[in-house]
Amino acid sequence: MHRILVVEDDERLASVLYKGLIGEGFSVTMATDAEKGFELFQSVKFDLILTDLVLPGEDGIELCKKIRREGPDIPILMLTALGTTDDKLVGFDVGADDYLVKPFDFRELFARIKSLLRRKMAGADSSLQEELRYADLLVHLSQKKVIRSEMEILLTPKEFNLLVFLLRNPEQILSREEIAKEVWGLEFDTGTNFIDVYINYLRKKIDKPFEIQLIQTRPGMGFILQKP
Amino acid sequence: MKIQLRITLLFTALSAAILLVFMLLIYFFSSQNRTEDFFNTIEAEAVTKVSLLKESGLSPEILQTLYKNNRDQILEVEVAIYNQNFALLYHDDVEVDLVKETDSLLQEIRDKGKVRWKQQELQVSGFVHPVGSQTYLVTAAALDRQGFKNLDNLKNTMAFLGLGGIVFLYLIGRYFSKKSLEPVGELSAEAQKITAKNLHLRLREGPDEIGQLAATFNSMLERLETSFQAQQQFVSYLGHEIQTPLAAIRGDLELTLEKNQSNPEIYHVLESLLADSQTLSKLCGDLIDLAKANYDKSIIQFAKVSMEALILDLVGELLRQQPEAKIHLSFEEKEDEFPQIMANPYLLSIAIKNLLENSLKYSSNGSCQVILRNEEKCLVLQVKDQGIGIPEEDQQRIFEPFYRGKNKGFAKGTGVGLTLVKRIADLHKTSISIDSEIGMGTTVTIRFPIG
Repeated sequence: MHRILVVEDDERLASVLYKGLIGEGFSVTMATDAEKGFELFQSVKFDLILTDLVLPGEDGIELCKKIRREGPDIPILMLTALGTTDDKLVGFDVGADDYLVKPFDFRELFARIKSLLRRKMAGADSSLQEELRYADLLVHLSQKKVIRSEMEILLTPKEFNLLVFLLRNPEQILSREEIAKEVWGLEFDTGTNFIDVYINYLRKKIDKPFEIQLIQTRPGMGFILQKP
Repeated sequence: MKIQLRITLLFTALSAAILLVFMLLIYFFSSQNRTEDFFNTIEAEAVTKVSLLKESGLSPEILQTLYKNNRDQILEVEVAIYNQNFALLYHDDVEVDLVKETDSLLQEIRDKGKVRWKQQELQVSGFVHPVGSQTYLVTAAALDRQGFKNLDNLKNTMAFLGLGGIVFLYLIGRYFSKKSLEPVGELSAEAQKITAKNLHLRLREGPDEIGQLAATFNSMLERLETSFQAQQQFVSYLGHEIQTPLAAIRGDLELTLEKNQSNPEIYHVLESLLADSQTLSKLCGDLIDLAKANYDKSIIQFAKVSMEALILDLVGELLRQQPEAKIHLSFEEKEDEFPQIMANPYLLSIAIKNLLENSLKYSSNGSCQVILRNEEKCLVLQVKDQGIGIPEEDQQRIFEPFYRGKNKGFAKGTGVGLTLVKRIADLHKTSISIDSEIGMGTTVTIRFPIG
């Protein structure tokens, strides 16, 4: 059973979250402010942290930063409300893995929690691993740094997740559905060329400036990270 | 006209008018005095001649010779003397008779005792002058050459000084108005530094009128700052304090909905409650965004934004909310990559999201196309659908707040989305064009200037 820490000061929302998450089969611990949340994080081992952005005293961003210093790989999902974030979360470099705008769909909340947990599990076998490497491509997981041929490449969080997924499954054909599910938590039919365009966009950053093209298309099947 | 120039001109005109009035008065009185003095002078001269003739017994010929010899050099008065019966007793020069003494004229002199008049430039005086037992009627006439010359000189001097004075007054006026308006300029320069970003700044106050004006401005700024903060607080209050209970309501509804799938009555009630709360939170979110987009431009931060990354993140998010949406992306970059544009990423993504949601909502099969291409000097974004189209009469009005066109029965909406899109486009100095045909679909085009 996965243990989830919920940091939310609004009693009503906290109780609904508690009910909903228990109903989904999680073990849930509640905290009403960032200080209590951080204490709990230090004493109990959680699989995921769900925190509100606006909290009395220290806010969710502070909490995120503190937790990141101690446990760089615990997934953090942040709840935000429009108008309170002052555009800070657009770049999303506060250390949370994902965020959800209030009010949200509970099914979506559960889907995201499961997607974060699945990603954590996937990384668990290699969780001791600090780096992923393929050919001359190197990714520092905790620093979220991408380097190819000694050149640093700047990626958005989503691009980074996509690249990590490819690096964790090198030389395997990955279907669009797999990528969509793993990276975006999406269950979609093929009515959109979204994944193709995204891969193309990632290629421009990862492959285009270099001689060897690592991300390749397998028509009708998907994509593969492979040396030609 | 600038106030400084106006004050200068007004000052110059007023003081020039005063100067002119004084000069006219001086001239007028000088002229009066000259006339009066000259009459007195010629009368005295005539009296002298009478006494020379009648008392000293000087011969008339000598006097006439003296007169003829002198009249071109010095002031000479032509004198004629009559007795009581109007008979001519003496005349300085009968051939050049300046004054035609008629009987009626002499009569008038005798009756009034003294008559003064002007004959062209000549001044003439006729008066009764007793010598011993005899009484004479004397006329004296002369031209006041020196007097007129002096008057002329006075006129020239005053004209010269007057013109010079006006120039001088203008310069003084300019200096004076500049000096008196300097504090206003300083005030306006100070006030210009205060924008929405630093509304806490205040103007320097002082004891004078300008200082009082600054104090008035400051109290106005105080109120402005308060209401500005109130607006921002309201927006974040709306954001957090309303969305949080809404989130709780929706969570509860969703959880209860799942438990009551077997009871259709409760299920349908809960379902419509859930739909209502979704509408409410969408409207709330739209209003918050609209309020943010209405902030002063100076507090909205612009940064270099990659349009591709922004659209991709947005579409990923949208697909998560609407997994059934068929969004086709066409990034038609040429050789070189898409240039980055200066934008506020949050507001820009709100605008594009609204366009996409609209397209999906009003398209017949839940599909739309996003086209991004670079043209010369601009980046073109198009959102295209094959939906029901927008009636022509609505096309102009759909950007108005809370306006919902003929298609409102087709899908739910708050009437805020496109207003927001327009406002955000304005903030980014771009223009939106709509190309739509009923039953064929709609294409919305936004052109972002590069560089």
